[in-house]
Amino acid sequence: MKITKELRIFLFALTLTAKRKTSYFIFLILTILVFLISAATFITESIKKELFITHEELPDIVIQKVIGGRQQYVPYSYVDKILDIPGLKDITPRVWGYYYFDYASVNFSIVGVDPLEPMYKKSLEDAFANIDIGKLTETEDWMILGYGIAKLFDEIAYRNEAYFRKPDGEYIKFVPYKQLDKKSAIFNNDIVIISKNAARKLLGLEENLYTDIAVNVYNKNEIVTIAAKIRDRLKDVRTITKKDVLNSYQNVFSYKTGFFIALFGILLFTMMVIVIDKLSGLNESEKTEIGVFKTVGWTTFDILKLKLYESFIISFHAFIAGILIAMFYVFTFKAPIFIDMFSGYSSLKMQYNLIFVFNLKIMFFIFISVVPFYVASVLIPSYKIATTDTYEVFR
Amino acid sequence: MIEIKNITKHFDDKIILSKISFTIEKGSFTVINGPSGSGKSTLLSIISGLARPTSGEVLYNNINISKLPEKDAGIFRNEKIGFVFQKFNLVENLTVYENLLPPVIIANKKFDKHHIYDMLRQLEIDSLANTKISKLSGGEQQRVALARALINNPEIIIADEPTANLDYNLKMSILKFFEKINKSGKTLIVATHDDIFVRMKGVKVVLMENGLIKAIK
Amino acid sequence: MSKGGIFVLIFCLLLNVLFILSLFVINLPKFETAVSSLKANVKLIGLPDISLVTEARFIRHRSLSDTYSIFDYSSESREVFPMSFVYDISDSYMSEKVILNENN
Repeated sequence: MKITKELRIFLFALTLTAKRKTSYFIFLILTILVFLISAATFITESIKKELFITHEELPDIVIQKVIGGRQQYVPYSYVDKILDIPGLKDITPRVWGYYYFDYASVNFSIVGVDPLEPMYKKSLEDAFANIDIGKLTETEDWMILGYGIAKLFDEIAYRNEAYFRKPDGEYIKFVPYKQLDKKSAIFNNDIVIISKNAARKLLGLEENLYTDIAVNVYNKNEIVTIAAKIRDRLKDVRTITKKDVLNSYQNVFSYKTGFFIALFGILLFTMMVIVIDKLSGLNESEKTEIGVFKTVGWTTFDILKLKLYESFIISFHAFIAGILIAMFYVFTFKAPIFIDMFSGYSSLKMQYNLIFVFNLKIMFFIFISVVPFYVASVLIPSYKIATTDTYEVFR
Repeated sequence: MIEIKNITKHFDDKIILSKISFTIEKGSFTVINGPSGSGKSTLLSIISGLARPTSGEVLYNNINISKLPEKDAGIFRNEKIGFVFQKFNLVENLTVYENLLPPVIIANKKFDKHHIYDMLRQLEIDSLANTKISKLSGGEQQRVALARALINNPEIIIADEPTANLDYNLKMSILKFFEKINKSGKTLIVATHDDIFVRMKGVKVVLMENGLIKAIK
Repeated sequence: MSKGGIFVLIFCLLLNVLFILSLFVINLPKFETAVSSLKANVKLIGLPDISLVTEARFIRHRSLSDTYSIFDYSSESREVFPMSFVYDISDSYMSEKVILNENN
């Protein structure tokens, strides 16, 4: 008996919600607000997640030679010096650098790779399903392009070959061999992978010089100690551990405190306007309604229940709808327009593959600032009306 | 039987009602007559348990209405009293049918849709069941208000200025309707400043002025 | 219950069901391949940071550059708007000290 009465109140709340024009309006506004904030959250959380799960794949320690605050090339003798430090798994002197492509005003990141080195061989095979390592060792004019550059070359008709200018003014020809995965454009957008020897020529590096040294260790707990040992041996180097990179990443999206405060500010401001409007008093018909309910025998508690159902239906489903739309907008449609805010003015257009991340903490915060706020803004004035003299209400 | 004993009501320092006492027999037709501001409406809200008197008590079959907790007062109103108001007080954006729901869904009995349609048929507005209140004429709205008052088959009908702002024909129809339901055994309490009720036969008239009973006829 | 009420009820139920379904369904099958692709790429390249802005070393591979070299560009690093907007000054130079202290 009791349950059916509650159910009937709930069903009546549904009818009232459907018949009130303001409920559609409020539903729309709340949905848009929740959509904006959760879309921004999804994008940043997704990128953040990508950064954090991939940082595992980076070398444990990167050794840079720094003199007078400027980075220098590392001679090969440095490798010999640290070779006997216990616990080192592998040491890879790397060749990489930047190439300014003035036609499009873009800095390419040139990464020199030696297909014969076991580390590179394995990661090449991991990155491409059917790569022919043997073919890569035969010639030196191949290049593997990042998504952004492949697209750029396609636009400027560098389809079959591309020419890069060496520091001595001569041009060197490269033939596109493969394209890096579009899904990972966030990391490979501006990357050109070429053979180590070609990279040395293109970047003007002398024979036994390297850009930096990547080191992997056996025991991940020993990274810091080993980094300290390396610095002790080599004196003029700076070591960058995975942990440092992670720290740097952690700062990457600290603009959330700017961008999100702005968005949350809009949310809270709008909620405030709605709440103040509601608290300043119900309109005539809403007052009459409560008065009628009282005269036909509803208690204040019944009326508050009705109002709770009604406001909860609107605000909670606006919350759900906002998140749902944001989910499809971001993860299915790749957030058109919105994503440009995150791309900035980069000359290479970016293709994002956003992986699905659901941050419960932020969702909860959005929920808190929407649903209880709205419910309270409905319940408080309703309570006030329900407890005042019904005859006063009708006047 | 409703016994009203020494009802006094203050709003802050203002005295609205002072020492009102009279009895309403079961099945009787009581008209509380007096100019506006004489305390009629306040008296009705105290009789129905919507408001509490400052002192005094209202006894319905020896139950003190004025002391009932809110929940029981609600059940009392729901089961025993039907209200008719001057401005009808219908929920504008709901249909006729939906306007009859509030008293029914809260009632402590099985919900029956046909019961609502029967009531609408009795008042000859069953064809309007799914029409919005805002699209109805004054007379139709009045019938909806009556239907809502009668839906739970209450013993007592309380009407507050039911004929105000109505034309003569509508007044007469409501008068006839009240007589009819009175004859069927319902107790009627009508607060009005309209003489049309005072002139009726077999009616107990309570004349009020400034919160005092001037005469009982 | 009125038609409107039924509509609201069905709408809300659908929304909830859709929400729960999409939480499970959306991108989940693609998730693993996307992650493995990302990992393979980063492993191959071996360089950190996202290629959001391609202007210079201290912006592109910021984690590998000196903490303050971003100010080589402009003291308030205004010209590199999205990046300077995105990146805060790293306190990575602190981390090793902290860890070393913890180990001791």
